[in-house]
Formats: sequence, C-alpha cells, structure tokens
Amino acid sequence: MTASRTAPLRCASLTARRVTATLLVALSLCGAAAGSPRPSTPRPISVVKALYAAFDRGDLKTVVSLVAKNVVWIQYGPSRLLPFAGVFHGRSGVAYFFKLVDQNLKDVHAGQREYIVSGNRVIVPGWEDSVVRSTGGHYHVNNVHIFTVVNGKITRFEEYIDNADIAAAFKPASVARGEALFTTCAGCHGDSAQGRPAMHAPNLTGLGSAYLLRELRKFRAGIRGNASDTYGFMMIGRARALPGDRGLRDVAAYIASLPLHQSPPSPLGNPEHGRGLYATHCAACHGAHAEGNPSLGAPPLRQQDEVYMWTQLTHFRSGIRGSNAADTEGKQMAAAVKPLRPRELKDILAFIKSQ
Amino acid sequence: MHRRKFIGGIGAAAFSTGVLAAGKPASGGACATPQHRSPMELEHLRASVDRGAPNYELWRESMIWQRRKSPRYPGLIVQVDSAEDVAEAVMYARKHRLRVTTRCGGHSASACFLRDGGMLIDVSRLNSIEIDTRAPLFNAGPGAIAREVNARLRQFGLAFPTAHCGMVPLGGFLLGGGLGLNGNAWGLMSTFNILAAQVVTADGRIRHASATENPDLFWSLRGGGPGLYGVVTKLFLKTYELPRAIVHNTITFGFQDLPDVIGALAEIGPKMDSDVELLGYVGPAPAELTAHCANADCRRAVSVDANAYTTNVADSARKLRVLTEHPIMKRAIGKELGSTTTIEALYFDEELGFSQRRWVADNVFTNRARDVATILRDRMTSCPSVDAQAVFLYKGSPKLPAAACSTMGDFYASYYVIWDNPTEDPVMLGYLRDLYKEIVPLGTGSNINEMDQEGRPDQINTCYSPEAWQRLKSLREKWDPHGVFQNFYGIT
Ligand SMILES: Cc1cc2nc3c(=O)[nH]c(=O)nc-3n(C[C@H](O)[C@H](O)[C@H](O)COP(=O)(O)OP(=O)(O)OC[C@H]3O[C@@H](n4cnc5c(N)ncnc54)[C@H](O)[C@@H]3O)c2cc1C
Ligand code: HEC
Ligand code: HEC
Repeated sequence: MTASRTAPLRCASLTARRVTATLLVALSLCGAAAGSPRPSTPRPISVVKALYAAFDRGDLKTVVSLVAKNVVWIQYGPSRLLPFAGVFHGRSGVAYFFKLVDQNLKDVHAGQREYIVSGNRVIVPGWEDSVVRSTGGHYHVNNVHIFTVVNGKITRFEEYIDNADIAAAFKPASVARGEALFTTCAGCHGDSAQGRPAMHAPNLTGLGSAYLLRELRKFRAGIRGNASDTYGFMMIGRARALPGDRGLRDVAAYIASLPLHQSPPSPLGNPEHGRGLYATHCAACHGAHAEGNPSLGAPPLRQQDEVYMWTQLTHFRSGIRGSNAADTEGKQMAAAVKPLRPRELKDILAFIKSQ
Repeated sequence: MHRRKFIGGIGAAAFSTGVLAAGKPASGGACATPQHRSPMELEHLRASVDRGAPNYELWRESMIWQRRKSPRYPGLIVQVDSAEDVAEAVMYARKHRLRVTTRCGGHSASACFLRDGGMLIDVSRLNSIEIDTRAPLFNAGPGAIAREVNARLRQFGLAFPTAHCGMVPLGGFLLGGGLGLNGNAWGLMSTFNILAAQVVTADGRIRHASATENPDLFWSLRGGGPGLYGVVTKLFLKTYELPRAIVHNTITFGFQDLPDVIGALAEIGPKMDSDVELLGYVGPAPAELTAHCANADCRRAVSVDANAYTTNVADSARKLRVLTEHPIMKRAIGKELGSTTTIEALYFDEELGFSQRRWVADNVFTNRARDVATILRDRMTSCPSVDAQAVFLYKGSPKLPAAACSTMGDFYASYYVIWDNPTEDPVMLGYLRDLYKEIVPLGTGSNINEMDQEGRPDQINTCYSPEAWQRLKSLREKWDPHGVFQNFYGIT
C-alpha cells in the first residue's frame, strides 16, 4: 500500500529532473510500479493483434508505428540459414528486418494459433509458410512469438522458429567443403588429423563421421567440454565457429575420408593384464579388438593416442566427461569405467594398443 | 591478450546454436564432390582455390580465426606445405600480377591479410618445430602454435615468450612485434628473439636473413610483419630457461577504482623486477562479486595480475612487496596471492575468457595510463557488450633494439569487445572506434598486432617510429620494386 502511494511521488521527482528522452521510460516504469496502466493505453493483446493485422495487409508503416523507438526485435536462428535472423534495434532495425525478410522470402504466410497473455507479455504460438527466393525451396514450420508491450508499444519481440524443415533442405555433407573447414582444426589435431599430443588433441582418423559429428554436436551444445574440462573446453569455441550444423557434417565427412593413422603406444600398463579385463568390461561395446561398434555408438580405440584415452577415462570417472544429462553415450561409458581402478584401466589401454 | 580465469563464465555462457540431433547423425549422406582446383599451374599445391571455386567462401572464412568475417575477397587462396611451394606461388603471382599477402594463424583482429583480389598464401601448415638442445635454440615454421612450442621446449627445461593465448601461432605474432609471456624479461617484445629467418622474397628466392646476412631484411621482419615484402617460412629462435615456478597473484578491485589502480601500477611498475609480469585488467566480474556490489558498474571488476617467473618461489614474496605493501591494497576486494602456475595453465586460463567469437580490438602504448583508465571508467559502462576486456600491461618504456618494431610506452593499453550476433557488428565496431578517438591522443603509438587496422587504416604508421616507417618504405622499394607483395593494410 505504502509502495503504491509513494511510487508516483518518486516518479514525479524523477521525471521533473530528466530530459524528455528518458521521460517515456520513467513513466512506463512508474506505471508498472503503481500497478495500474493508464486507461488510454491499449491492452498488450490489442497491440499485438493490430500488428498481425497490419502485417497481413502488408502495411509496414503501421507495423513500425506499433513498436517502441528503442524496440529490441529478435529473430532467433542461425543467420547462415535464416538471413533475417538476428537482434535488431529500434524502428529502423525493424524496418530493416522486414526488408531482409522480403529480400529473401516470397509467398510468406503466417498464422496464429492462440494468444497467451502474461502481464505485459503476449506469447503467440503459430506457424509460417514461405518460399525462399534464391532456391525456390518451400517450408512450413512452427514458431513462437513473444511480445513485450509497454505503454501501448512493443518494446521487445522474440521469434523462435522450428528449423527442422529448413534443416531438411540442407544439402548432403560435402568432403570438399569439409576440407576447407579443416583449416581451422589442423593447428591442434595435425595436418592429417593424426592428433598432436602436445596440444592434447586426439587422433581423429578412423573414428567415422557419425561419431565425429556426434561429438562435434555435443561440443557445440556444451554437452561435452564444460569449463572444468580444460581440454574439452577448447573444442566448444571451435565447434561453434563452424558454419552451422551443415559445417559440422561437412568437416566430419572430410576427416572420415582421411587415411587411418595409428598413434604409437605410450606404455602405460601391461597388455597381458589388460586382456581379460578388456574382454569383461569393454569388448561388448568397443568390439573384441577395440575396433569400435557404430551401432552402439562406441568408437574404435586401437588407433587412438594412449595418453588421450587415459585422460578420457579419468574424465569419465570424475564426471568431467559424460555427466551431462543429455550425454546419453557419455553416461553409458562413465558407468562402464566406474568399477575399474586406475591401474586396471592402464593395463586395459595397453591391451587396446596391442590390437 | 590477457584474459583471466575469473571470467570463465564468458565462454561457457556463450549462446549455443547447436542442435543435438536426437539419435540420427546425418553421416550417410557424405559425398565427395570433386574439389574445384584452380589454376592448373598450381595444381600440385595442397590447395589453390580461386574466387570461382564452389567452396571459395568456406576457404575464405576459414582463413579468419574469429567469427566476424571481414568482407574482402582475395582472387586466389593457396595453401602450402613447404618453402618451395611458397616460392612457386610467389613466382606464379609475379607472372600473373597478383599481389600477395600471407596468412598464418588468421588471428589478426582486423584480418589484415585479407585484401580484395590478388593471392593469399596460407602458411599455417609450415608448423614444424626442431629444438637444438645444445645451443639451446630452436627453429620453427611460422605455423607452430604457442602451446605446442612450449610443451616441446618444456621437455628440455626451456621456454619461449609466445602469445598469452595458447592457440596463437608464432608467425603473425612474432613478425608484428609480439607482447609475449614474461615479456619484460624475455626480449621486451618477442620479435627480438628472432635470431634469423628463412624468407621467400619477391623474386621467388628462398633467402636467409640475420644480423649478418641480408641485415636490412632481418631488420624489417622483426616487427614489420603485416607489411612485409616477403613470406617467412622458418624462424630461428632464442630460448630461455624454464622458470622453476610461475607465482601467480591476483588482486581484485571495484570497477570505480580503475584509474587509481592503474595510477598505482604506474608507481609500482618501475620498482618491480623485470621478470614479474604486471598488468591491470578489466573484465566481467565474477559472480560472487556481482552479488553484493555497490559500484559504478557491477558487471565489471578490475584486477591486478602479477606473475613472477622465478627460479625461487620463496623469493617471489619479496619481489611482490612493492605491490603488496602499496596503499592501493587497502581497497582490494579480493586477493589470491602466491599460487603457483605453469605456462600450460596460463594458456588455459586465457582460453576460458576468450573463446572463438566475434570481436574487435584496439590499443595504444601510453605514458598516460591513468588518463586512459579514467576514460575507460567513464565509457566502459556503456559498452554495448558486457564481454569487454581492457588490459594495462606495464612495459616501462624500455629502449628497443634496432628493428622495425619501434613503438613503446610505459604501458600497453588494449581493449577487446566480444559478441556473438552479426547484426550487432556496426554497434560494437562503432563503439570501439568512437572510444579510441578519445584514447589515441593519449598514446605514443600502437601495437600493430592488436590494432584496429580496419577502423584506423590511416594511422597504421603510428605502429612504427617515423624513421622506421620511412625505412620500411625505402626497403620495400629495394626488395620488391614491382610490388609483388601487398603493402600495409590501407595502403594500395
Ligand atoms: C586469442 C588471441 C590472443 C592473442 N594474444 C596476444 C598476445 O598475448 N600478445 C600479442 O602480442 N598479440 C596477441 N594476439 C594478437 C596476435 O599476435 C596477432 O593477431 C597476430 O597477427 C596473430 O598471428 P597469426 O599468425 O595468426 O597472424 P595472421 O592473422 O595470420 O597474420 C597477420 C599478419 O601477419 C603477417 N604474417 C603472418 N605470417 C607471416 C609470414 N609467415 N610471413 C610474412 N608475413 C606474415 C601477414 O602480413 C598477416 O597479414 C592475440 C590474438 C588472439 C586472437
Ligand atoms: C585449440 C585446439 C583445437 C582445435 C583448433 C580443434 N580441436 Fe578438436 N579437440 C581438441 C582437444 C584438446 C580435444 C580433446 C578434448 C577432450 O579431452 O575431451 C579435441 C577433441 C575433438 C573431438 C573429439 C574426438 C574424440 O575422440 O572424442 C573431435 C571430433 C574434434 N576435436 C574435432 C575438431 C574439429 C572438427 C576441429 C576444427 C573445426 C577441431 N577439433 C579443432 C583441440 C582442438
Ligand atoms: C556400454 C557400452 C560401453 C562400454 C561397456 C565401454 N564403453 Fe567406452 N565408450 C562407449 C561409448 C558409447 C563411447 C562414446 C561416448 C561419447 O559419445 O562421448 C565410449 C567412449 C570411450 C572412450 C573415448 C573415446 C574417444 O575417442 O574420446 C574411451 C577411451 C573408452 N570408451 C574406453 C573404454 C574402455 C577402456 C572400456 C572398458 C573399461 C569401455 N570404454 C567400456 C561405450 C562403452
């Protein structure tokens, strides 16, 4: 009660001291603090509906007039795929956004399924149906719009769009494209992806594109390589720097096309001691000769650098790798190493390298 | 250059556009489209990709380390495996009147190697490292990467002042000057550790340059990198004894204290031993500080880092006394003193704060660091990205050996803005460029390696003394009379 009575007072003194540019912001803050929008202000839902109506008429002028001067207009999505994705500031930004949409798409249709109002927010699940000008490609996808409306103007717009069908339009993975992208990997993984022990970067040959791609996607999504994973962390930036999921597929295809390199063993343990342990604890997934089993998602191990594998095993044990809830394969692997002691794991690695 | 451990959040929190496919990786579709390779004469090189090639744009973008890919388009991109390949590429360029630039690790914040037209030679694969443990010296290809260099040297109890981030290769870093690890004790600027180099010159010959052989070429390549009239294919380098320990100290202050902290460093620096790397740093504040903070800008904090590269851990406390006994310490809000670290660990710390995103950087050497800090205190709050970092590295205006690398000051003051979204590029670039209009007049010149060459192309000469700039110009006329190599960025 006290708060709502004193709020307008404080606002009055604030507005008196500030220049007109900040007036609007101050007023809107006061409105919110006092908990009562002024009667003349249209309700958020009406503003949003007016925007859609204007959009349907192709009336960009009205669209722009409904957004606040300092609007933040966000179209989520990889800008490589959606040329109109990004963060746009101000009315000119919004106009620019619609210009980009128009430059890139034709026959744009959009629909709204419902309007969910929460305070000054209006959430609109809907759909979009368009043709890409440059390719003639067609898509029909789901999206969600979230509007924030303050004082009858849209101050923030966010669009989430389901890219699945756009992704389906992706071309097949290309070794040639992957070769270009591999320039950004060679410094750590070696010119032929043979691995560089001094960089802690593993041998990537022989792993197969499915495994490579899966790990790259995990890095990209932060599922592998958290900030406590000194080595894995380096991969996050690199995986994210690749141009989209397509880039991941391309580079994985290129690496998978390279000749197999056998990393030399570093004698960490006793292969004979490791033989039986391997058969009991590892072979079911990684194969009798550590050749890997793609159907289980278990990579081949016998070509891999021994010290790298040792690091991975300790990381699986400590949860640095394989503890993320979304890391299905990593969790399996983590469970598999749990019962084994470090000495036994070293013997197993020695056995793997003898294969 | 210096990123810090406590900002670990930046990289990790970076937005993820990654989609983790549920189950089905699209691996089956891999198809080997034959690479469009052009032109015929260069066919046996690892790659030669002209603008018409289908994957030209991927090659072009892969040349640039950061994610802001400047829109300049070389006519031909070649990737080489040897000095002989380089010589051949240069001969080809000569014949076809293509102007040449060199790309090594592509870390240049301005992608200064990227020009419209001409030939871009990617030497990143020249990355061999050979250590002569008796001398002890080593030679390395320009593509040899910091972390690997020191990992290899460490086995012999040796070290080299690479860049502070483990991923920066020697090439561009050394040829442009190079503010390296333990710089004030290890050569002032890392480029002065180049003892000789193998260079492919405009006539396509592979030459040796040192203090006694082709000394003017040697003079040029120690600092003249981004405008060099030649391609360096091998570097012969000095080494240092691996310090027994690196004692790491971090003292944290509130953002509003920035000018006073830097003022204090200006008093402390001259009294500090040269093997203590002393720097002030501004970056995103650690979460535990933002929680209860009453600063001008709670999102940011200031820290002083003092890394003592020492043979004696106990001795480091004495070395640090000028800092720990300075009155500024009373304002510290966090202290971490005397932990030991390694070069390897320092690389990882930097990596955390500085993952591969979009960025722009600029810098000055300055004798008025406090004034620069005052500007930053007033202007950093309005930086459109919270991921902005500033460094004040104490240099103490040392006298540099004679070489192209010739700009110095009491401090090296640099600034980095990092963000993710391409549509925000103009806002970010605009902010930094406006800011540097205020900062540049307080400087004695800039360091070309981290200069915003795209933003201030007309001021690239300020990375060199007037005499050095003049000499680079006349040596270019001598070594490259027909202009096979591109000049510095912004000079046609
Ligand atoms: C993460 C990060 C950390 C950094 N840390 C530091 C640091 O601690 N200290 C510091 O001083 N700088 C630092 N820098 C800046 C760095 O030194 C420069 O960006 C440098 O140019 C990087 O070297 P590069 O080999 O990647 O150069 P590139 O960007 O590939 O090339 C830059 C220019 O150098 C010239 N060049 C490169 N190689 C050759 C060659 N072989 N022959 C002839 N000319 C050549 C070319 O003219 C080229 O235009 C850092 C940069 C980044 C991105
Ligand atoms: C900065 C150095 C660095 C660069 C550059 C780099 N990597 Fe890595 N990469 C590593 C390290 C270190 C690891 C090991 C991570 C760990 O220990 O979990 C790794 C792991 C991987 C893995 C997982 C391998 C496995 O067996 O599970 C893949 C796949 C991979 N990298 C692919 C790439 C690709 C593709 C690129 C280029 C786009 C690249 N890397 C660039 C350092 C790097
Ligand atoms: C239940 C099946 C399963 C068992 C049993 C298993 N693994 Fe794995 N392992 C996997 C899977 C799946 C992965 C891939 C994890 C990922 O995607 O991150 C993996 C990954 C690994 C890796 C990392 C490879 C790389 O390139 O990064 C190593 C090393 C490894 N396993 C060793 C072993 C050893 C040694 C044993 C026996 C002690 C073992 N595994 C038992 C399924 C298994």
